[in-house]
Amino acid sequence: MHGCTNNGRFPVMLYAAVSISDSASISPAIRTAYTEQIKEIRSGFRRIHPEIDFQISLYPESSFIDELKQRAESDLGPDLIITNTFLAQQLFEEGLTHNQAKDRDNQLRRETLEQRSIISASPSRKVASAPFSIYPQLACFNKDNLNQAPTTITELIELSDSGKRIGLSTKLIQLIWSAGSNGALPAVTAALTHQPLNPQQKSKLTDWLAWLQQANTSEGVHFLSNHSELRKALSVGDLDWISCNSSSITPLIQAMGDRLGLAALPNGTPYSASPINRQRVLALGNDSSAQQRTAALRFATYVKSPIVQQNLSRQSADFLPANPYVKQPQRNASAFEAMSQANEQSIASQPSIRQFHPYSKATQQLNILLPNLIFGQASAQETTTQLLEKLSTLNEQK
Amino acid sequence: MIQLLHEVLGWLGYLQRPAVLIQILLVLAIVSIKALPSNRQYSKVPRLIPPFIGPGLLFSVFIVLGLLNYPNGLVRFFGMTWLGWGFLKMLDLGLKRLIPPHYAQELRNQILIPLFITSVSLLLIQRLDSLQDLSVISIGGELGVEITLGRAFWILVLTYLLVMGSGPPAGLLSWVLQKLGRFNNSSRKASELVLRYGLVSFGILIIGIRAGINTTTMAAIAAGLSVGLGFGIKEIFANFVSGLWLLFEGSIRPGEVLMLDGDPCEVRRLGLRATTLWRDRDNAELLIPNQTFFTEIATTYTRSDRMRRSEIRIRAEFQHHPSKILQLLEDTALDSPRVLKYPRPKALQVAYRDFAVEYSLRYWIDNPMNNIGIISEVNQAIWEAFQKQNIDIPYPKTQIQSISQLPQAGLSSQAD
Repeated sequence: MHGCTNNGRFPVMLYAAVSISDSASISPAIRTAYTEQIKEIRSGFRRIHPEIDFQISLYPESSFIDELKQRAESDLGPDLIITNTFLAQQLFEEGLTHNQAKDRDNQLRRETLEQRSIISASPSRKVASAPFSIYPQLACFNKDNLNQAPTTITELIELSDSGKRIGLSTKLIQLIWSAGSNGALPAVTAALTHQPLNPQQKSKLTDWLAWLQQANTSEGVHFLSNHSELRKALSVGDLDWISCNSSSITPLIQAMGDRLGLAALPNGTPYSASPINRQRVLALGNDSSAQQRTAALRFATYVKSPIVQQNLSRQSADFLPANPYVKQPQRNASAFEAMSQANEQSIASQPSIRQFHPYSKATQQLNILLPNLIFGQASAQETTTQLLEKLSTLNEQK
Repeated sequence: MIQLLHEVLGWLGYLQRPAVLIQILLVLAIVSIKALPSNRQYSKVPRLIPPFIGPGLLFSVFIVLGLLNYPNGLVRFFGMTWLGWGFLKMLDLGLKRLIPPHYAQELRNQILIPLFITSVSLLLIQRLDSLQDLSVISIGGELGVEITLGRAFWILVLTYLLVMGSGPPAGLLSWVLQKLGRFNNSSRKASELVLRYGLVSFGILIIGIRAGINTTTMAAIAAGLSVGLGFGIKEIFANFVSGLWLLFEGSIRPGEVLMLDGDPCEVRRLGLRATTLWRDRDNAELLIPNQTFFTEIATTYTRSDRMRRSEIRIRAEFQHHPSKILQLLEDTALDSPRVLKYPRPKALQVAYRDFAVEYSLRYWIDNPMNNIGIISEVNQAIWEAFQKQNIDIPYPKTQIQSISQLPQAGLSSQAD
């Protein structure tokens, strides 16, 4: 019997479900990378709680909700869920995660409610998830070809006209920052959330779409279908500047070394860019036993502690720690600074950004229309009309 | 592999959840109750009902747990699985009415049951873990390719489906070839097997290439395997090669009749390792290693054609003229419906025995498997013909004589 216990405490198995971005399909390399990353955290945590062990399951974001629904239907849902804010919110709305506000002594709950800058608590003060790390959207560029990153969208277009190669994505989630720079973010989010647009908003929406179309007519601007293509093009020297996600920093450093430059995305005049910063959050499953729930809370509190967050941000340049009390690390200082600026841009774009949902049908509609607009198949005016018509149809179907 | 074992053992941790443990215990209890031997084996219940008693009980438990507001998802999952098994049994009953029983049995055992078990296992694992995540677990690197669990699974499934599912296309192709080439059924069956082996080999090659194994490595493995086979499983390999040789040579094909220990046996199936023969005498199926046909003499009646010459030996009294008997025997054979008219039956006077003249009646039949039955028919016809013509079939007679007194003369002369 003694072998089954650790210091008199029975072992507890924690089941963690982790969502992986669809652009990075689950592969042996991704699995190894996650396993290694989690192994570090796990070994530190097990020094304090040797009786708690983990089983990690990786899921693609596109099927995350459905997979967890199936597990929950058989009472085999995970104890701990590590995902992005949007999915965490959706899981909570589907009743698949635990309301952390119910846990009276939950330190995690207190921290989450205190951190007003990090959006994870729902309006009714139900705590769906606790932020763990932030992956800002920023600009990645080749320092050999660009001395300095453009700070405004006007400078960006000027750069492309001067022969520099600029890379942008055709996906809305990776272009929405430019809506902010063009002052069209409130109009875009209003349209995507099925709110009526006033003439001024409609005009702003058209202006932004026109800017995207015009950008493609610039000789140096190249629109590629997704983020991984942009990253590849920058790393092999086909592009000089791209909009990128901080999760790409490590592979880009591996490919480019010191040539990689990082900066915040260009603002407009007088508008600020509105990047969508992906947050990794921790949510608690509904099917846990009492011991598993306690263990999950212990783990969540552990990974959110300033020391652990500091260590993690020291090891990886890919994310910002969610805990605002973490100091800037000496190592990766430039990346940390660029990510902090990008994070500030995102925070400044709240609450409009909060209404944006990357998996909604409205977003999908705009994703379908954008390539036609960018490659000149439809004018900005026509795209605005088409978008509003389709969104109105979606609204009627609701 | 250790990683996989760690994952699988990790699933035991779900038993820490009281809701899971209680549901599993309830399921086990119902399965045990259902498995208990009962004297009343639902004799008065329609055949379709028993497969659904177990699932019905589980669904009752599901409803009760739901009413008590207690988790019941796992009970529902096992209930649905059991229900699926019940439907599979029903499907089996239906199939047996639609297609020949042995085809229905093959379909059930080789396709439906493995498909059901694999699907249920995957659904259960999907509820315990992430299938996509598990599929990328490395279980080793072989042949210059990293073998992940998912890749190994698909290789196994595709190979199994290929081996099991190559039958119908091979059958269709051989049927088309038979129509084009106008060859007989035995040749069609042989070509079907050759085509099937061809399809399986080609499919395995494609699967190997799709799995990332390069052709040079495959050639190297084939060479290495050949040496290994020579030492390790040479008997199996010899049987396999013999089987292929027999098919190409066409000396033994399905439908042919071979003599085995004096019994005619029909070749039913030429397998990878062994040939299946059917013995009419006792309806036995004999599995003969293919190599046997290479090392031992095989007697066949179907190599050039399917006709067999059969013989009956019969004796008649000396008093009857042989020409009359010979004519009678030939006429009797010709009157037998299953004896061929051409080549004509032939009767011969073969020997003088102690008490009778021995005759031989030789005739031809078109199916060697019917030999014993036709011998019986012809023998009966001969008996009746002899009766009508008052011809006796002699048999040795033993006369016992009781001697009460010894001859006197003999005794006195001895005394002198």
